[in-house]
Amino acid sequence: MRPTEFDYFAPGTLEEAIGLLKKYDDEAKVLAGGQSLLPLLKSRVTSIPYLVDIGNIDSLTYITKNDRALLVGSTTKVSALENYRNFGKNLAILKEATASIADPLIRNMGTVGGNIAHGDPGNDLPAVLMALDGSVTVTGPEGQRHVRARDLYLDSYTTVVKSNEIITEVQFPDWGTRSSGTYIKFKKPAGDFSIAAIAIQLKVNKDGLCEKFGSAVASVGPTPIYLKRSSEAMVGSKITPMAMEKAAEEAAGEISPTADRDGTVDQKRDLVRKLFIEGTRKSLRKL
Amino acid sequence: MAKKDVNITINGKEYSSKVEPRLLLVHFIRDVAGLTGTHVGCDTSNCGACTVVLDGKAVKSCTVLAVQADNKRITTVEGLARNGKLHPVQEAFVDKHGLQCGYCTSGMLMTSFWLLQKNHNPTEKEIREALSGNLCRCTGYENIVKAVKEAAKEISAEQNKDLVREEPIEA
Repeated sequence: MRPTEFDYFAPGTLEEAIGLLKKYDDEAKVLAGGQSLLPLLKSRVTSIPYLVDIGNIDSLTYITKNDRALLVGSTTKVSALENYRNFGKNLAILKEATASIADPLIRNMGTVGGNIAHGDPGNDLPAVLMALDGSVTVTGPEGQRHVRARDLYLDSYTTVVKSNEIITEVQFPDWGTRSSGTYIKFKKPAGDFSIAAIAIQLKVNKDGLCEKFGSAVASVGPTPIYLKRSSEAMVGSKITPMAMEKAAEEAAGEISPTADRDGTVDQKRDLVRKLFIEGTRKSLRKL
Repeated sequence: MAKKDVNITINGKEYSSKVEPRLLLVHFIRDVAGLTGTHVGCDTSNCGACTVVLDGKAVKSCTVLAVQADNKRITTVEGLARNGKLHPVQEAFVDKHGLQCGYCTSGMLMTSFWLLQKNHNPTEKEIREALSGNLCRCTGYENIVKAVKEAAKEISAEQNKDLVREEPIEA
């Protein structure tokens, strides 16, 4: 299968890349690893006249830390993040989520920024970034701006990133002591997208009360969904089985799944309810 | 649509051509370089028959543009054997009957080759995880996993032999 014809640019700097995006605007799209975009172009689900490949901009490939977050350059390969050795317990969720994406060959080519920018509701890193309350740096002709992951997604394949902007960095916050989380992907065969997946991150204080809680889901709505009501319900009290049940019930109501060959709407709500409890238990065990 | 000059080093040999940007890497390898050991299977990023090693990492060459591989180095199945001698991973696939129809085999070999380069002694779980992007409809995978284990043993034995050989002959 071949994509429709397009012009291709491989700028060596971010400035050149943004210049090209500005010039061709709606007709141009950023190509990073291409592991989501190329299948869409090959099957001609979409066609794009101008591709701007940011894969040769070395300054966008890095993994580094500051005191608040793990900072990942957007063209860092998913496998590079997966093999990062210093996640610790606080960011264990990232190891689980990256290792669950597609298959090792796709992860060797696909990028962290691409997984987040593409906007496929089945992608895994958006839910993680939302649960952690992380953010992205977006660079465009007017300079840089920061967008909270929870404000990033508008609809399927649609984000607040404009056609002349590029996600240049992804920030995964470190929640500090007594925090941990997990990513559970309920999926069909190896390599497939999930039927539903949940990202959970929690932090407790010295007395065992829940200090912070973030949860988000993939594949059960037009976008990844931050479970606002259920996350907020967990904060401020002990994480008891009853509290989990109650918040999980809330979570099942916060999603907007569609019925398909993988299940009915009710089955998917029930699945998310169970994943919420399982994920919370698993995260607690890791503390 | 402007064609692009690309220069890709495949198995140590440079191939230069002016190509359409939409040309897939697998077609560059098969049609421009004439190396047909790399197969097109599903053509939808699932089966892994088209796996090659790009800059040290196994990737699906049906899901990479040739222009993305410009100035990069690729190893295909034709690059595994040395001086007419099969690579240990190839020997092991023969010994352990790691193939039946052979269509997926070049992809299986390339992923196994990449795995064994980064992990000399993989567990069965690690082997199965590494091969999770390569589909085989004949073998049920058992003999493929056995072959990769065998190759790992063979490679470490080979390396030990080299170490012994490096000892000075005269005391």
